[in-house]
Amino acid sequence: MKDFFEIAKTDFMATFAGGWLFPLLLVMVLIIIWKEEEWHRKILAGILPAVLLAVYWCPLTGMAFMRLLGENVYWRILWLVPLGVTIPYGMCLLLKRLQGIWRQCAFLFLMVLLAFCGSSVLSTEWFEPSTNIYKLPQNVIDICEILPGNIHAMVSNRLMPYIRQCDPTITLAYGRNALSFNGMTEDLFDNQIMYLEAQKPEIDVDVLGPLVRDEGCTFLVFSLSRTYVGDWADYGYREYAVNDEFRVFVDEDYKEGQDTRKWED
Amino acid sequence: MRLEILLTAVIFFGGTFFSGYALRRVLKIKGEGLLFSIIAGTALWWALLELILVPMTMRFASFRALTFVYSIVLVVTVLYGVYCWKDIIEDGRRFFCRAKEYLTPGHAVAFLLIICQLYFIHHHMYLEWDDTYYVNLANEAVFSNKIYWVYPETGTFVDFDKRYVLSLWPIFYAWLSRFTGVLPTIMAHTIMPWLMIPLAYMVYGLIAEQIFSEERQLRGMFLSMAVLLHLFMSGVHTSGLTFLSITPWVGKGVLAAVLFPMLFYWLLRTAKENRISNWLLLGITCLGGCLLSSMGIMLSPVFVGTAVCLLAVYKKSVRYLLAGIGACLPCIVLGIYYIYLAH
Repeated sequence: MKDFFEIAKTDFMATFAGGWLFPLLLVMVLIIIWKEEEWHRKILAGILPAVLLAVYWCPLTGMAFMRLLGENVYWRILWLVPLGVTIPYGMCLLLKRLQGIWRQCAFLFLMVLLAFCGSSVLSTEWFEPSTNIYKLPQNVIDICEILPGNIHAMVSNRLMPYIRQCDPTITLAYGRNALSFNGMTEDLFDNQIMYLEAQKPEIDVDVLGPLVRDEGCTFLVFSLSRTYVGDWADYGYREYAVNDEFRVFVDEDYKEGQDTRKWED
Repeated sequence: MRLEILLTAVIFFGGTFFSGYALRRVLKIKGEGLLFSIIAGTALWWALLELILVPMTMRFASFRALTFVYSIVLVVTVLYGVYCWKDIIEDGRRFFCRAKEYLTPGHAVAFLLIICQLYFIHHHMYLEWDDTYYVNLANEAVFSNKIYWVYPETGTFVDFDKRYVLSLWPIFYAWLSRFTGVLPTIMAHTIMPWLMIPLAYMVYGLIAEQIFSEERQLRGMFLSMAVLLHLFMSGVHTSGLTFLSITPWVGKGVLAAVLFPMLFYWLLRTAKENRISNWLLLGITCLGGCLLSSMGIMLSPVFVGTAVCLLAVYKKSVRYLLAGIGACLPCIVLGIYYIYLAH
């Protein structure tokens, strides 16, 4: 029970903290219940949000939904509260009583109030200017221009989530699931050792070299900051290209245009 | 890129517009206006894709086969919509006669805010961590011609991830990509906002028409406040409304920002007029919601069920309650199947 309230409170705060939209919502619910004469609108725009909030905070329904949806996504129940209807509707009910210039002035005031109660979504805090039509980080595009298509590669974690969005013909040695290997030290499989070694600032080529060769990686992309103990040539790799962020190695046996994708896990 | 955006918008809004008229003809709904057809058509497109996609995915059909079957079905609905040209002309005439109704300060503010939102989003990017799964799922469909056989993050073959097999929304924009020839990544990040943002506000426009049918000025004000709320909302990564700006291509985002308001609109209509056509539209939208996300399978019946229970108590009508359960039936069936698959 204590866990339930902790999760519900954390999720609730994550949704409504940093603004005054929740108090505003409650006020608008009361206004709709008080002012609206048509019962079906009163129920849908006023009573329904209140009931859904009660469902969210009720331990009985809450724990059932947590089990159904998963504890880490319980906050999605709050999506059901029709904020986009209730708040504007309550405000419009207030405006309904006014006419002419008074209505326009009140409308302006309520718009300003609404903006002050929330925080700007279209902020550079969350967005960054796009530099390409893919809307992916520019360093990903730059690397994809260097790499040929239809290859199997191991790439830096900075590129890993994005590179296949830019060029889906590249197959990868590991995806995001490999992040769970971080911190592992005992009873490691080869793919885990390979991932962990590739994360080190100083890479032991004698450890990583045989593993990437067994994995069938034709291209390796590392951050420029990585240093290496050992010689990649001993394992059949040579430097292919360098840009201002990454160094690319290629299997010496690779022939231009060759398809080295790996379909089997 | 402008041409591709325009072309996709014409395919999407033009297609849903005519399909909406076809659906209206079948359900005998007249005189509801042009926007209504787009919303009804969108719900129909998503519901049809869910109906076709789930069995084809289970039968390991190729993406090309899916594109063929789905396109044929949509073309039939569009042609039937074109056949309803008399209804379209009638609605068009009424729209132009009532055009003055949309020339209010509220509508102007809403329009300006929407333009600002689209302009900002077009020139900025939001890096969504989960795109490596979802967007690549669409990329794999187009490039490998396989639906969901490939683990999208690495490109290797895997067994189905049961969590998503019933809700393969990325296949929808992979299908759109086939028509325009752009990479699904570009379709998702650059073009989808131009479809989903106007679509969401069309729904709010229809809600405004329902609740302020006699007050045209308040309709505009309601719409502009609804738009502003999407732009000034707290909880950027958890609140449903913010997803319209940050990730309008992600199924969950579309669910929260487009589908739930759509359900609200149909509920308003059923509450006002307990007609079978309104219930069918609600059911079709519920089915469309299942395509968007597995959350749609779970949350749509919760939303509809709660609203219908409250209205049924007020109306003291068991029939109303039963009709509501009927509308949730697609979600209930898929929900049971989901639980069966997941365990």
